[in-house]
Amino acid sequence: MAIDRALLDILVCPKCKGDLRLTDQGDGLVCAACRLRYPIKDDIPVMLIDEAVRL
Amino acid sequence: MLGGAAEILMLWGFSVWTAVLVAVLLVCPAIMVWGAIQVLRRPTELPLEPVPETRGMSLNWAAPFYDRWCRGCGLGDAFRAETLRHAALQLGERVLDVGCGTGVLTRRAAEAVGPTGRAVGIDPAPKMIARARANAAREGARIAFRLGVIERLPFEDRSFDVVLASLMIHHLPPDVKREGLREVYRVLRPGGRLVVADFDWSRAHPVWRMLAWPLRILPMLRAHAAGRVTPYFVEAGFRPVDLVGRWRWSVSFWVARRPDESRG
Repeated sequence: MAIDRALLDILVCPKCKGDLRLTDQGDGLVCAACRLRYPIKDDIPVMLIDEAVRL
Repeated sequence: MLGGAAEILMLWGFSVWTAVLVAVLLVCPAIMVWGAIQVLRRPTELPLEPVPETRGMSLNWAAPFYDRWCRGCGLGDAFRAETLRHAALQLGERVLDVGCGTGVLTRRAAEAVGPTGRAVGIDPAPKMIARARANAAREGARIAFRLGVIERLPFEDRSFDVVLASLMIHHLPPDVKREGLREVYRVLRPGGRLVVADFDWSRAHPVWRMLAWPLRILPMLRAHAAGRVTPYFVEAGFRPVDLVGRWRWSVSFWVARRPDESRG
């Protein structure tokens, strides 16, 4: 299931509240400013700073 | 020990049922104390899976039986319906359910706002969110679930018309209550509303009030036992904050609005 586009628009980085970009594989959301990748597990975006992967 | 007690009681001429009753009365508090100890230990110490770091309480461990538990406490379908009555959701509204748990309320909210609206549920417990998603999929409800914490909501400013917080505020210690409510205020549009259902023993029957009194030692529950929940909403900037109803002996409903600056 692709992540809902309309919803992606209102999703922001929980740390800096900046915009997020969906990865090409669709398996994560990237905050360029914080250099963090929030994983999408079982179609559920994990919007937790401590679970984010540092880029 | 209980067997021995029962025998002594019977020797004194009590019926076996009296003995059973006494045994139950003795066992119940023991189970409650044991349960309380389990609950008060940090949930992350239970051998489950990593629970995100939040100083609010995550009910990850309770996911398998949470819905039955709520129903057993008198917080079943009628309670959810009453919550939604206070929320007065309109078709097309964007609604966020913070601490959505298994998504019981989120599903009803999604129904109320219809296909033109949007329903989002967020919770810090992976097991709860997984369940919420499965339940919604089974019912064909169109809801987006996110794993996240109230003190750092991953949504843009002013992106919701309504935020629901059902039985969740009492899982937050005072400073996280403040932080979380500020975040809720941020994601609500001006004129939007926060609908809260939560424990408020100060308005309960004197017996319940007395029983709830010791809960003041717990930082998470102090405001709920002392009747000082409303000031948290006011402090976060909500105005007006209305106490709109009660449910049974212990729950109050509040509707707190983010002031609409444009209307002055």
